[in-house]
Amino acid sequence: MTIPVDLHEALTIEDLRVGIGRGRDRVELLDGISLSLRRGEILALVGESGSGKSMTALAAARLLPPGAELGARRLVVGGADVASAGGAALDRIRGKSFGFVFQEPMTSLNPLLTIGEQIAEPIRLHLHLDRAATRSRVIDLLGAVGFPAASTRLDDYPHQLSGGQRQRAMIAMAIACNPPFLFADEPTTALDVTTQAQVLTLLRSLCRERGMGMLLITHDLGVVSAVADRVAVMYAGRIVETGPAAAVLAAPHHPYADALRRALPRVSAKVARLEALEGQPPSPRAFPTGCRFHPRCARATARCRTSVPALVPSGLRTVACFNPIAETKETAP
Amino acid sequence: MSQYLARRIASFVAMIAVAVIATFIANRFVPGDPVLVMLGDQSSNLDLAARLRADYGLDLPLHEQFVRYVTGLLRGDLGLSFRFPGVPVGEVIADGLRISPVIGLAALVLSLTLGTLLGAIAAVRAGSLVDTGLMFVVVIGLSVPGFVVATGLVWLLSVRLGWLPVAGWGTPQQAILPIIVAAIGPIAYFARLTRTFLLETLGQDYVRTARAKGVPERGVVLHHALRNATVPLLTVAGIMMGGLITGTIVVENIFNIQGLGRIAVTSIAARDYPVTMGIVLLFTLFYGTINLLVDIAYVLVDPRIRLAVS
Repeated sequence: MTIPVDLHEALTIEDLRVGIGRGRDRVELLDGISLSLRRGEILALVGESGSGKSMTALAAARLLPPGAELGARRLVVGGADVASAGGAALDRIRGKSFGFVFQEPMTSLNPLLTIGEQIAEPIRLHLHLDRAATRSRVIDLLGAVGFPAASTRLDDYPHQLSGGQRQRAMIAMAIACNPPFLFADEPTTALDVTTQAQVLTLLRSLCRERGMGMLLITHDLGVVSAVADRVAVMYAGRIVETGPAAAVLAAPHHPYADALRRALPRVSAKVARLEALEGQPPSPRAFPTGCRFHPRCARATARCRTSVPALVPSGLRTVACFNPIAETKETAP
Repeated sequence: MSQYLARRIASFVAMIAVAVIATFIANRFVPGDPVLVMLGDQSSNLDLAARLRADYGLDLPLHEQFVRYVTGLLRGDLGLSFRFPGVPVGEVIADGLRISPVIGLAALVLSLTLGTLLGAIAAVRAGSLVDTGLMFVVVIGLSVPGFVVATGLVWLLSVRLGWLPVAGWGTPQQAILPIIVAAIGPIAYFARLTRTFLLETLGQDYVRTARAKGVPERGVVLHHALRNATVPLLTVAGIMMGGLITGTIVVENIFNIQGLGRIAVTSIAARDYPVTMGIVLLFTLFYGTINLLVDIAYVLVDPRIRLAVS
């Protein structure tokens, strides 16, 4: 099946749904997620734990655990139609049309294989290079991700590397076949702060140099402002606001995005106490009716309890709220 | 690496030494006078008794007996049998040495290959009908004693169908049933554990990483998951050897095969301690060697052990 593909398109997710269980035990984890990215663009997906950020990336990469059911109107990752692919076709897409950087580099690398072997694997599978060419490509990749003395580190095992080096090896593996798109699921959460900044800078420059789109999953708004072009805020399996990262972070329109921003510590502001968002994120087994944020929202009205607000474009942003914070009509086209 | 190996070999030697001391003590301190047993109704013949004692070195002080025992072992001399007066133990068990390793090693190879294969199939198809069916058979294989399985198989394959001989040793046909019976328990055990360990490694993050790279399912299972599952499986394989030894004892008695196990049982019944202890020593040597090989295999499979010890 061929579908029209925009050459600049790196990721298109339309109406992505993920559910588990049947009948009365049915739980909808993702409810109509739509995202799109162009090559070279970085989109940060933010939200609390359990909001469905990682689930969105895993679903788009077709890496959901068995039992989770996926549905989407359109799912194109790195130019490949992922929704309809299965089995061998999917194996040919993964690693070639997109790479995936996972959160925990220690457990996400195979402890019994050298990093050289692990980075060579996608090259061998997708590019069919001979041994020598594969080896030199692995060395180039390790150099590109900032591995000092790359050619001597090929035969190192993951446990011989530092956390930052492991994540660099993981990134080298993910970009080994020069994919047009990269998933990065909290790539710096397991790292110390200085290493975090280095890895983020690396990811950003790799995207720019290679024209690679990246979906960066994080719960750290500081990361968003440092790296992302655009941001999408998730809450309870839905996207509540998208827009240019700087604008959304400076003045969120959705009350949840605003609450997230207020919870961010600032060096400049002299506040004695951080604002915390009251309450707990809802469990997928008991999602509230209407807007899922309404039980925790100060601006909620009767309508929020009964109907689901759609994502409505407002300037460069989209917002799913009946009572957004800023009056946005004047910026609408 | 060499230090690690030296430590392993040292502990292997220590184990053998303990076995030598234990068998010596068992030989000398078991109740009953073996000379009186050998004399039978000539127990009043004191000259003969004295000669036998001298032949067996039983008249020497204990420490000299021990030195004789150890130096004899080093020359491959396991002593003289009680049951067959004057016959060296090595001669009594010579036939067994030609038979039991065949049964044991064939059962070992069968259980490792078939057990791993069945366990891997069950793990990959976890929750399916294939998995449930396989695990049902495995539970039967684990819980039904070997002699019951043997009786059933003999009845079916030998008595009813007449395909295979009922007992004995010498022809390839006669080897089939004993090897199957010896292997059934270990196959089931190994299949069960392979399933468990493989399911665990299949759930690991690095398996998801492999899938994300586009590694086909075959490669994911064999190259990434099974390889990691091999580390705990190796441990179990070493321990399983103990079960295989007792397994051959049962099998040889059921099929009336004059292997080490059968000789061990008849020697115990005849209070032929030198032969019994000789066989115990051989089993210890075999078990120790297998576990030494497992220790070496660890190093080859897992770089974390390799590097930690170098």
